Amino acid sequence: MASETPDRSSTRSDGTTKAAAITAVRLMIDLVVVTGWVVFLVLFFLQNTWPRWTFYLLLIAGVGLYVTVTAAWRSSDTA
Amino acid sequence: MENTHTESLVSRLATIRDRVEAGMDRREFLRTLLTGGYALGVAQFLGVDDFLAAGDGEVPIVTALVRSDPDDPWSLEERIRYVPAAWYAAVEKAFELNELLARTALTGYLGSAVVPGSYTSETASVSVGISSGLGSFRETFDGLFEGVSLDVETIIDIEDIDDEHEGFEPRFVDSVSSADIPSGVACETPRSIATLGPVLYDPNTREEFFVTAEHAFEDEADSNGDRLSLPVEGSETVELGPVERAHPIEDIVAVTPADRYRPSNTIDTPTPTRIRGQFTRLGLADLIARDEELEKVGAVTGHTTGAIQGIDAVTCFTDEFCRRGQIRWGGEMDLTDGDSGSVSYHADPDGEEGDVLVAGFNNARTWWPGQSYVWGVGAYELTETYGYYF
Repeated sequence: MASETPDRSSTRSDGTTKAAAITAVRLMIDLVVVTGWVVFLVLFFLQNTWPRWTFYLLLIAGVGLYVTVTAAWRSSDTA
Repeated sequence: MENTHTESLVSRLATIRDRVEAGMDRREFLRTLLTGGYALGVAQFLGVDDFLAAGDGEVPIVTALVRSDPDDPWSLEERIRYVPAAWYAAVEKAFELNELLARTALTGYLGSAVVPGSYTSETASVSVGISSGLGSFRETFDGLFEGVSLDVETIIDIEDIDDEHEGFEPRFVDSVSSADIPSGVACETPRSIATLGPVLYDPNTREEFFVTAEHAFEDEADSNGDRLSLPVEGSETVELGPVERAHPIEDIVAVTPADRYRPSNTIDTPTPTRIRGQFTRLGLADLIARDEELEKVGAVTGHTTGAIQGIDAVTCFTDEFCRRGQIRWGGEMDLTDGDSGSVSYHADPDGEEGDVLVAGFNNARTWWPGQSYVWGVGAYELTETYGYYF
């Protein structure tokens, strides 16, 4: 990822600390968003009697979509 | 022809190389795997499989708390069953109405019980006992909850039948060669004879208790000095232990085992019976819906079976307080003096041969024209109030 390329204007350790912080923050955001998605799906499926496979399909599709979309944003942010 | 083929191959290779060089796909693939795995974990944690397995119009209910390892009293797991949602809604409404009745406690109110209907009927009713001359009662409460009917019984006269003796001989334990004392045999308080219950566990203190009915003790059982003992057939009476806790409203006493003898989860029946856990309130509702019966082994009347007549019952017939969370089952013949302290149980459908689940305690019986049953506190009520379980 572009964020991890060494920044010449600062020292190397500053760069890695910043990169680690960004990764940690992104991981936290990922987990929060995914938790929200699971909870939403659970609530939705509690109201509707859809088959089991649709739950898992929507769960994984949602995660895949989220990762793809955010990956595109992040690469355009740091480009 | 050859040209176009080569071109497409080259372009495809180029795209793959682009992707690899970007380093994006592998990273994002890994991220998808990680977050996807996390999502599945959260879904499992929330127990989605329980309701995803339910058919159209069904909901899961917890019917029982069962020991997954019969030899480890602290290994409890939930039993789940799928029931029609409409039936569940009716039963829950009936519980609410019953609670409302008990809380309002109108003059003349003597008690009430929830009687779930069958699964096909998808209904439930509340059976209310009132003293005579309260015509307005029905108007006040009937129709308050859609789909729940109210059966009002006017009780003219309540006889106190506690003093009747029917000439049965209590069953004493044959010998105490084993340190484990089974349930269903006679035990002795300073005042009278009662039935010894099975081992009662307290998960908070990790203690095991002998139990019996509190009313078998004179006035109120006292944790300072009252002791429970065990008469042995053709031998000396042995001591089981001192009363540790007395619960007059639920009508049970917990007795700490003294050195020699320990409470057991077996019931004194001809075929070996082992208690594996207990039913929840909804588990009892499920038994009624399926017309299943309860059994008990009392020290005087022995082994009897009977239909369940009501659950979540409130009884205000005796004493100054109302008893909650009661089970009504069987008939007047199923219980007599000396049977108090026995438990009602039903076979564990998913357990091994001889495994049973406890429904509740048997403490008293009541009858008047049209109604006759044994009643006692439900095991679930003891768990909710004190944390104890069988």
